[in-house]
Amino acid sequence: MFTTRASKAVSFGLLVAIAAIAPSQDEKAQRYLFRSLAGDYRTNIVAVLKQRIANENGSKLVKIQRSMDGKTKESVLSPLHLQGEFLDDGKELKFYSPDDRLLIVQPNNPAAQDYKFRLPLIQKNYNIRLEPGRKVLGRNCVVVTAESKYPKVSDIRYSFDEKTGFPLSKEIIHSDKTVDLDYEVSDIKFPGKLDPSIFRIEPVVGVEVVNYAEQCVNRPSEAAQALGFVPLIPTRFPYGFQIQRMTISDKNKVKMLCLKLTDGLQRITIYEWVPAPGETITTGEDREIKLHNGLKIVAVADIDSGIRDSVLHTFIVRAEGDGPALITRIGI
Amino acid sequence: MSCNSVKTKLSSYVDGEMSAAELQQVKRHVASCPDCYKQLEQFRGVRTSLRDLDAAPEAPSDLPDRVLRTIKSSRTNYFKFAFALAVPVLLAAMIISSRTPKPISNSDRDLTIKRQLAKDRIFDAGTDPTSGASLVHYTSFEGR
Repeated sequence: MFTTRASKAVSFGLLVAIAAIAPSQDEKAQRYLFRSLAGDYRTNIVAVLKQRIANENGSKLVKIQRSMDGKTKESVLSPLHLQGEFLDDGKELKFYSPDDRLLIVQPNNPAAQDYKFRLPLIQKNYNIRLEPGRKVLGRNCVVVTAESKYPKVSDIRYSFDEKTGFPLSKEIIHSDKTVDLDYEVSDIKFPGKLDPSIFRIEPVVGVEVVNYAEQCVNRPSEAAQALGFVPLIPTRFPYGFQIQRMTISDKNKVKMLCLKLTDGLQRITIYEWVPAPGETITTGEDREIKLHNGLKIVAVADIDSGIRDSVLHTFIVRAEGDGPALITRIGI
Repeated sequence: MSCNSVKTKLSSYVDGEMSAAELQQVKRHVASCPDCYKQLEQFRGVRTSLRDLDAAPEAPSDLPDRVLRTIKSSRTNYFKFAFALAVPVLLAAMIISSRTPKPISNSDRDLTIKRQLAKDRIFDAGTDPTSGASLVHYTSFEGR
């Protein structure tokens, strides 16, 4: 009798202790999501993923080669007309477009993708939920859904490799509950070594090299001084979006303000500049709303057009206090 | 189409000396074969280097004589005087020119803006490849 009671007490004590120590299901989900945002995979990875092409009926194959220390090379394998290579060698970010014979280079600024800024936003804007596990490529996956607290914003479902934390698939669950597969890994390996030459892109003769630097600004007044015009910078945005970074384009041919907004998981980039008379920028669907000192505003995003328009609308509201503005949209 | 067959045709592919049907076959193969893709890139590099060599003007045969004549004539006082006058004038012109804003054509502005937008999107997607942001190709953005 005593033995039974004692063993029950010990078992209960153990359960309480385990409950106290073991993370809850949602904490486990958060841990996998945050680990992925930080790119903390602790292994070399060579993966091929099939990614949908926005606004086109088709997909592309992208090969990702990532070293344990975070160097990354991405190559579009197909279709041929989209071929290009991206490299993050830890110091610089490079993009090589063979068809254009163009190499774009910019310094690697880790702050630009600072996941530490994004974590509190994710916690504020999303409920992170653990779903029943599944297998991708025969590997056990931890399935995590980031459910937006705003009904109009799509939810995102990730399948993380249980062992390494690498996301093997991402699905978009729209507000009408339809699901789009954003990408899925079709092949993955974890090689012990990666050839260092992978993480080099050397321009061949005849390739134009364009170097970009970045000038960060922290205050609207600072931005106005650098730009030579007063930009529109709303203080509040819908759906939990916040300004992550504010930069000035360094190419002095056209002074542009670049606002990087995020809700933690999704991004919108807003550009503002003063167009020249007769300037005909054909970057997508142009829609003239109002004129405000000739200021032009463009939003670029991989998200629902309704959300993008709502964010743009905050600039219009901001402009209405001062005068008319010219608004442009890019449909992605 | 096998790798060996494609590799023998890469030179014609780069030079644009191929029928439309063959072109499609090679394109399809190269799109799915990293080895052939790499070799195609090497071919492209070599072709460009050769083109650059072809384009370089040959030195005229009388160049050595002309250089010697120029050196001799530069010893005259007249040349020294002209040279002394020209250097500061040229320097001043260069300084003024570098400080004077040059008018920018609209096509130049278009290109600057498109490149800025494209490079931001490329690098957003590239630095966070599993964010789902599409790693757009530069041309696909340029063509919009």
